[in-house]
Order: sequence, then C-alpha cells, then structure tokens
Amino acid sequence: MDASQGVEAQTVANLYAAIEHNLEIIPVINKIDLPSADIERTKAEIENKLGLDSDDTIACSAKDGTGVLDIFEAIVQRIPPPKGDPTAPLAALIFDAHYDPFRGAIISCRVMEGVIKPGDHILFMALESTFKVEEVGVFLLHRNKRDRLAAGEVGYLIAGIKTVSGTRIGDTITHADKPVSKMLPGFKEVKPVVFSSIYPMEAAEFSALADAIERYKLNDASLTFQRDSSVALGQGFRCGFLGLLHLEIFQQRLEREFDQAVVMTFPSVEYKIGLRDGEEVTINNPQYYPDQVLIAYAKEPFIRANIHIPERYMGAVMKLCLSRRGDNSQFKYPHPGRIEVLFDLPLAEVIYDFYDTLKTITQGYGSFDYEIIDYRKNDLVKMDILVNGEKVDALSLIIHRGSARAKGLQVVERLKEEIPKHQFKIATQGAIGGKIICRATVNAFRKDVTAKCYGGDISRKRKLLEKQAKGKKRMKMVGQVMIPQKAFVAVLKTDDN
Amino acid sequence: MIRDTPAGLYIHVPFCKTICPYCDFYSLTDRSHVHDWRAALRLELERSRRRFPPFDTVFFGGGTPSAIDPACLSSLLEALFEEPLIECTIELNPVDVTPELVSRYLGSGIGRLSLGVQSMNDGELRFLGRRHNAAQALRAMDICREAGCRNLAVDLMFGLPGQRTRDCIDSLRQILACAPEHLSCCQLTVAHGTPLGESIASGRVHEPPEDDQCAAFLSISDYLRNHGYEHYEVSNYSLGEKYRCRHNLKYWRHHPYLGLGPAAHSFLGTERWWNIADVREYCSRLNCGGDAVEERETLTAEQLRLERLALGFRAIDGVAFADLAGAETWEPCLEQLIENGLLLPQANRIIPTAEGYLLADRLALEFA
Repeated sequence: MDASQGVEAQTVANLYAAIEHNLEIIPVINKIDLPSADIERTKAEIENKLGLDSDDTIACSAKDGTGVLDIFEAIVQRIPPPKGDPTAPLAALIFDAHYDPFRGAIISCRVMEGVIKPGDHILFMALESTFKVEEVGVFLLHRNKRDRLAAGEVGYLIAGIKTVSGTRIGDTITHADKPVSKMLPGFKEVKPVVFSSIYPMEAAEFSALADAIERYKLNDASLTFQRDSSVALGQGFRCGFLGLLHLEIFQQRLEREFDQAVVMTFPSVEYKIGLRDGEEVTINNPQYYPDQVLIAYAKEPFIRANIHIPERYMGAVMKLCLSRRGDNSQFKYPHPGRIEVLFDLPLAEVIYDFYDTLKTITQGYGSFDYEIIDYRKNDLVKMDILVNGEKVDALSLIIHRGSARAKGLQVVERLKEEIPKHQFKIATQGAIGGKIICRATVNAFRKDVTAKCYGGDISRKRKLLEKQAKGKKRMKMVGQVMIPQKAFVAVLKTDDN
Repeated sequence: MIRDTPAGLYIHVPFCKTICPYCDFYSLTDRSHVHDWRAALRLELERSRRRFPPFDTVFFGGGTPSAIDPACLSSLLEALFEEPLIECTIELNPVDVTPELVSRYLGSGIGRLSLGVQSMNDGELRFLGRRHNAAQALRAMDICREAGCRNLAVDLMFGLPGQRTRDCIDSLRQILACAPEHLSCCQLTVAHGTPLGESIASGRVHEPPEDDQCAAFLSISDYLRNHGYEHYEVSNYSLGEKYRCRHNLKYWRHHPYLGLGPAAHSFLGTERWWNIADVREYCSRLNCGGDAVEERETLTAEQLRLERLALGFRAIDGVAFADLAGAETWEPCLEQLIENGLLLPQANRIIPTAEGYLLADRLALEFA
C-alpha cells in the first residue's frame, strides 16, 4: 500500500486473489518518505478494510531504502519455501510464451517438481508434442542462462519451438521418457467466448491487416480468426477472443503497434440455435443467423458471476445484475463489511461494459470474476440496422427481444449523428425480421454552393473537390448514402450507460 | 479546340479609397504605386500575349477601377487596338460616377459598366461599409444611361444578417426601374480573416438560417425571371443571351484568359497560373525582366473534368453527359437528381435548375 493513498480498490482485489490461492500475506506500507504519508491511518485501514493484523505490517521507503532489509527478512522468515522434490518426475507449468524472431518461442515456466536441463527431451502434455531443450535460464531483467532449473524455480526455456501457437499457457512440461503421471492442476482449455469481425478502414488495406493479424498471433496463441466479409465493409476477419478485455487489447495493439486503423463489429457470444428440422447449429455471427421461421429455439451462454464488494454497494450491484437479466442470486459473507454476490447472468449482458459499470458503481472497490456454466433458452432475435431501407450488414446484432428496442434506438440515434447531411432525407432504422422497431432521421440540406466563382476561385474550388472526392472513396456507400468509416467506429464502440 | 477560342483579358486594379469589411480580394488604399503598376501592366501584357489567341473581351476588376485616373487605363486599351474586342467591362463604385468619367470610359471603348450598388437600403449599405446611399446609387445609374451606356450591369447582395427576402426584392424593384441589361445577385459570403468574418466568428453578427437563404435565392430567381431575365449562372442574370457577360463565361467554359496585375489569374488549355498578391513585388519583378507568377499548375484530364463539374452545375450550359461517369453509382444518382427536380437532361448535356444551382457544389461531388 501507498502510505499516502492507503488501502485502494486494487489492494482489496489483489488481496482476495492471494487469499484464494492460500498465499502468505506480508502487508507492506511503501512511500513513507512522502510528506503526505500517514502510516497510522493506513495501519488502521489494514485492520478495518483488509482484516489483517497491522502488527505484521512493515513500513518502508523503496526510494530511500528504509525498511527494505526488514522486508527481505520477512520474506525469508514468513514466506514458506517452494514445495517440490527435485528428484521427482519433472512437472513444470507454462505460464507465458513470447516469440523471439531468432530463438523461436520463449516459454516462461514454473518448475513444480523435478529438474530441467539443456539437452532434455521434453513433452508438452496437453498438446502431446515433444521438443529438445536448447537453453534454460531465469529472468533478471534480461534472460540469464543457467545450467538447470529445479523444483521451486521460475524461469524460461528455449526448445526450438517455431511458433507460440505450438504452446498452451497452463500446459504441463514433463520428460518424454519419464513423464509425470498427472498433469498439474489448474489447466483449463481456454476457448474464445466473444466474437467480432474486423475490417480495414480502407478496403485496399486488407492485405496489410491480414499481415498484421498473423504477426499479432505470434505472441497471442489464444486469438482465433478466419476470413469473413461484409457487403458494407468488404473483406475482413471473424476473430474469437477470450473476453472483452482480450478484444479491446487486440484492437488497441493493432492500432498502436501495427498501425492498423480498423472497424470492428458488435462483439457477439456464441449461440446455439435449434432449427425446426431438429438440427442444432452454433452461431456467433449475426450474418449467419437463420431465418426466424426456421428457428425452434435459441440458447445463449450463461455465466456464474462472483462479485466481491463492500457492503454499502449491495443495492447498486443488485440493481445492476437484475437489469442485466441476472438470476439465482446468492450471498456469502467472507468478512464483516464485505459481501460476495453470486448471480447467474447471460454472457451477452456481461461482455459489453458490465465490468466498467461495476467499477463505477462501487467506486473501484468491486471485483468481478465469472465462469461459463451452461446454455439457456431465451427469446433471442436478430436486429438489423437499415439506412434508407438498405440493410447495413456490419451493424446487425443478435439480441434479447426485450432489449432490442432500447439498443436499436441507441444505434440509430448514434448513426444519425454520424451520417452527414445529404440532399435528401435519410432514415436510420432498427428492424427485426421485416418489422421496424425504431427510427431516427437525418435532415436534408438544401444549399451547398459558393456565391462567386471567377478566375481566381477555380483552382481552390477544384482542389476542394479533389479532396472531397478522395474522402468520398473512403466512405462506405449504402445505397445513395455516404457513410464515413468513423460512423461505424462510433456506432460499434461499446455503449456508454 | 477550346484553346483557340478567343481569349479574355482581365486587369486587376487593386486600389480602393476604403476597404469594405467583407472583401476578400487583394486591395489597398495606398495609391502611390499606380504609376508603376500601370507601366508594369504594359510589360506583362507584351510578354504574355503571344501565347494567347486574340482577345475579344476585356475586364477591369479590383479593387475599385473607378478610383484611379481613367488615363491610366487608356494606354493599356491603346495597346489592344488590334484585338477583335466585342465586350469591354469596368467595375465602378457608385460614388465615383460622374458624367465626365462615364463619357471617358464610353469614349475609350469601355462599353459595359458594372455598378457596385449592393443594396438600395441605406441601413444595409451602412452595414456593408459602403460610401454611397440609395439615392446616390440611383443617380449613378441614371448618369450612365444619360451618357449613352447601353450595357449596364448592376451588382446586388442578399443574405445580409437580419435582412428579409422582401427587402431584397424591394432593392431589385428599384434597380429594375432603369432596366439594367445584367444583374449580379450574390449572397453575402463571409470570408475568414475579414472584419465581417471576425464579427460572425465572435457571435456579434449572425448569418441567416439556411432555409431563409434558400428562400431568398429562389425568390430572387423567380422575380427576375418574371421580369424577363435569364438566370444563366448561380449569381448572374441577363436580359437574354445577348447580354450575358461574355468575359465571365470564359471562366466557366474553360476558354483561355490572361490576368494582368497582382493576384490576377490566367488559364490556357491545361495550364493555370496566378500572380503574387503584392503590387510592389509585382512591379519590381516585372521591371527586372521576369514575370510575377506565384504558382502554376498543369491540369490532368481528370482535374479538368472535375473543374467542368464544379463549373458546369453553376451555369446554364450545364455538364456534358460524358463528364458524369466518375463515381460508381452515377447512373441511379443522376436519375434521382432529375427526379428531385435538380437537373434537366437536354440533348447530351445535363442542365441545373434553380434548385440545382443551390446545390451546385454537392452535385459536382456526386459525380466526382
């Protein structure tokens, strides 16, 4: 904790995560050198807000070194040594992987049992692939070669693995000839749960985007993608993400590191649609949503949400969960003043901005985790967005019937703001099947002319026209309506409540 | 070839007694350089005229051409005595109009007089910073007629802040009393960097709402057409084809023209160039044996097409059908525009209606 800030939201969240893993806690109050430092108040907060013994606290200043040796001492005294038998069969847990263009995949691992050395033949248990270890070492800012990594140590290994997709985070590494009998616990097959299509801002940039995604995937094994296309936006990719955060990071990194300006469609979860002929199909792309008349039922994924909050935010959190079609609520009381709220929620309601809203209403103190539990039937529909009667396929979404009108209104209003005036009126509409459920109108303009155009005006006028004509090429034509790319970006951004 | 059609000669007279708050042209009140400027003009004419076909129109614009001694203009006109001139125009400030001055102009072959009346409402004239009032304007028009002018052009402004359409029509009605052969009715345009521009930006003055602007434009067009005028360009009306301004038509038809003087623009075939906007620099560069060109451009076929679009939808000639095929959806677009009453097909050209004039720039973009 920061001596001047005291216990903050992330302190609580991190503490709970640590407790859940049965880790030994050493409370440390840092930055005691600051004039605004208040050690006594922070200690009181440690007692009251965290439920820890403030006598165990160590005060220090990393800046000037005060108390740092005490911390080292405490680590040695209080934190139990890593368990693990160096003579047992090798079992190492992969917790990260990076791509190095010269060495291939650099695997970060924690050796739980046994020893690993260069020259060893290792087996990745989940993938059932074998490799020969070239190098092992530890991270000391940079990679530092070692002759072995033993049980209890954390470091890296290099084994001629060509791509990061040849590894799985959470997999167990063991010796090929003397494998451990059971994989390490905690290995979860991660599957994408949120899907979105991604298109380049300009159709001509498609191959640059394809290239960027390939390079991105080198360092992100969990991203899945395949070709996709849209009438409105051209050639693109349908991508699968582990969650909304994964999607947002992807979009931001694409923009910043790979210099790709992109448009992404509304994120969607994966639905199971039962057809009248008995078949059940899995759909995550609204474009492939079957015709309503063919559908017998529609099922959506549900999660069990686990929300930790200070007691005082209970009402607000209940309200939030119920507004998101939450069900089956349960309450636990881990500590006086704190509540653990459990709810069944549709995943679709959670992927947009649930987390941000939760943080806002709990002033940062709420923490949130979830697990997908099952698929449940629901009244789902596909909503299309029309501009002057023409469907804009990239804006379609699969949505719960009850939320359709509100969401539709939001989209058509936003679209109305983003579409420039034309010399005719433009109607933006939301429709389910053929039925219009909401509408907004962009008024026409009647005047677009300069009063004078003599010899001295022509060059300037032409230059402006050239610029506008170029800008027009970057616009998407939907019927006679010119829609700027930024309209798509604005409309498809996760909504603000 | 368009290139070989007769050319127009434009002379920029940058001198004014006062500068109007809305004016965006190069002009100055310091008249000490008139003599040098006149001499430099002759040099520029002699050096440039060889490239051009014969001139059949001359236009003295500015600035205020009537603010300088007419003798300055005679020498230039003398240099043109061999040209097949059919139209020679000068712009006048109503305050400068005297029988003597008008006679001088008519006598030296300048038959077309263009009066900067702008309004017949004294309040509006004050807002515009003009030095004349309505009575003086009327008197100026009479003087021109009395001196024998048979090609009178009057300038009017509309769309002034707070102005109602009927005030505008009222000014027109008064002007029509002397039946000018030509009328320029321009909407007041706020140019950034002018005193009027500052007033609008700061919120002291408000531009009229778009609907009012459209109503005023269409009312004027109706009114004038009902009185025998042809609306042949966005802001220009004439009593039949005979009295259209032949010089200005050259701009809109891509005919050649040579512009003399600081800030003047020229066009020949595929080349466009313009002079620096500074009278001292202009004079010194020409005296040193060179030209006073600030910038040149050579236009590609596509750029020329874009210009034909930008100019065509502003004038009665319209645009050739062949020039429309640019954007992907141009055919359904054209159909819709004709249906909406903005364009009329005529032989192999598309002609804008008055409503089409209002959207001229947008129409050009549709086919760009």
